Amino acid sequence: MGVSGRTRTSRSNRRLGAIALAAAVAAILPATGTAAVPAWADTKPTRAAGSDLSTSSSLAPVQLPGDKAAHTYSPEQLKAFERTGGDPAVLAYWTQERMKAAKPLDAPGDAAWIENTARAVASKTPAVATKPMPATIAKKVPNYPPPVTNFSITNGKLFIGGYESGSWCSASAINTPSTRVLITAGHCVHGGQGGTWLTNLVFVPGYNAFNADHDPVGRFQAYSLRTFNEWMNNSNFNRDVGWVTTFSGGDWGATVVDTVGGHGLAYNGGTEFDVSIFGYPSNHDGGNTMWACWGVATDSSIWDDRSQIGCNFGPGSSGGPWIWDYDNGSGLGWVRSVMSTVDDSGVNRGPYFDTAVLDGTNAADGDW
Amino acid sequence: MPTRQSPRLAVLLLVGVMVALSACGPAAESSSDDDTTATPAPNASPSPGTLPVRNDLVNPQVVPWRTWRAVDNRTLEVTVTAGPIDCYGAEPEVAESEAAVRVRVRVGLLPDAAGKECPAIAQESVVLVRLAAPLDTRKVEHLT
Repeated sequence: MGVSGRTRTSRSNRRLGAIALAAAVAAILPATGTAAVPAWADTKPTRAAGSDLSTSSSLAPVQLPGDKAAHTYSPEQLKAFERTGGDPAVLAYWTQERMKAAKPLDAPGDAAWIENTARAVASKTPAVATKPMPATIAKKVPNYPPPVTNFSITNGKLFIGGYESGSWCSASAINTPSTRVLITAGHCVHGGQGGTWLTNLVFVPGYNAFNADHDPVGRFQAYSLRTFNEWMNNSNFNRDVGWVTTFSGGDWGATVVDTVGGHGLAYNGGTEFDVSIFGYPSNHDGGNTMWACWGVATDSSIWDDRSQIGCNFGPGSSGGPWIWDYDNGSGLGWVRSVMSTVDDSGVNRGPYFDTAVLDGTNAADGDW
Repeated sequence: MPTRQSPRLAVLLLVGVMVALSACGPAAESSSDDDTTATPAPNASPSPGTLPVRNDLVNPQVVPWRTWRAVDNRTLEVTVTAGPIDCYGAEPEVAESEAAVRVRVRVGLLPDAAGKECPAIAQESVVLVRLAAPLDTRKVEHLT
């Protein structure tokens, strides 16, 4: 249990073929066998899955410097953003000063190599997964998944507070009819009990601060946010799932799934499954590049509805997809949970995906 | 810069959204909106929190600070990324010379976060750094 491997993306991206493959394989850490992990005695006991299975949504709040409260766009502005790819103030406001501040910390190496690398990344081959499908493997013993060699740009970094802000989560695109929906953790869109909707969310597929081009296919601004009422009202980790519906954007002014593809969604399966996890944990490379962890997720506890695995993915990995049956070739699979928590022994947990998660996904699709 | 919002505001926003989207948006959650109204005043502020300064953090790691400002002539406030402030704390280190104040910050789990689960979100927070002498015109730099 808890057996997992993990590695970071190479400096390059998945489209870089041999270089990426070689670098990524070389970087693979030996599988870390964590000892049997005790079921946690929570100081704050989580409830069993709440009876409230419904979700709520909000237009994604935006707050610009000088705004005293969340900003409301006019219908004309919303229309314009759909054409132009979002509010420049959210997508780029922080860039200059933030990047200046960040530069000395992670000075890249060979500038020419990075430049070439960045250029090679700029090829657009959207891939679309099949529609969300239910998992049917509940009784099968999971197989140990193959190592991740493809850091799919279907996954990315979800900035909170504008592009390259110091607050972030992880997220991935899922295939829905609108082709605009991201799945992430509930606490990445709403503060939970006593909290509010989070502001200025920007999704950056395949974000990599070690490349000259940090956003290989551009940025997607949040249009609306959605999460379970059970998360909003009770901070129930069993329902720590969030959705972000996005404006068209990116380097081609297309929807997010048309740009980077979308994973399927698996639900009503078992809590134990082979999993490949992607995200931007700040305790690995400062959250500057995508990391992956893979292994077999096990049942968290009889007291909750969650899965767990010892990835030691710290702050920033939240919302990253827990992908079942991940295919390195296509960079796609079925999202079956999302990163929710980490504890002091490096155990990560994610909520169980049941029919209510499918309902929330369909509702998020309808938010557009 | 996110600032504090009342839950009431969030509810108003939500209601506004639902009015605006009544043709195509989700319209079936009015009862749960009432639940939201009944929640207590915010205890998790979306504005940058202040990391508790401790010297007994679990597994502290150096994290690069991003920006700084002087709160007063003997106190700096630097921004760092960490986990939620009820799980994580900071341990600043200062080296002062005549020309410069050099600051390094370590971030780690609070001792009482042991055995507790923390949402794995990365949040920009601030750390207060006390100076031994007034800052005056000295430069503020990263201590490496």
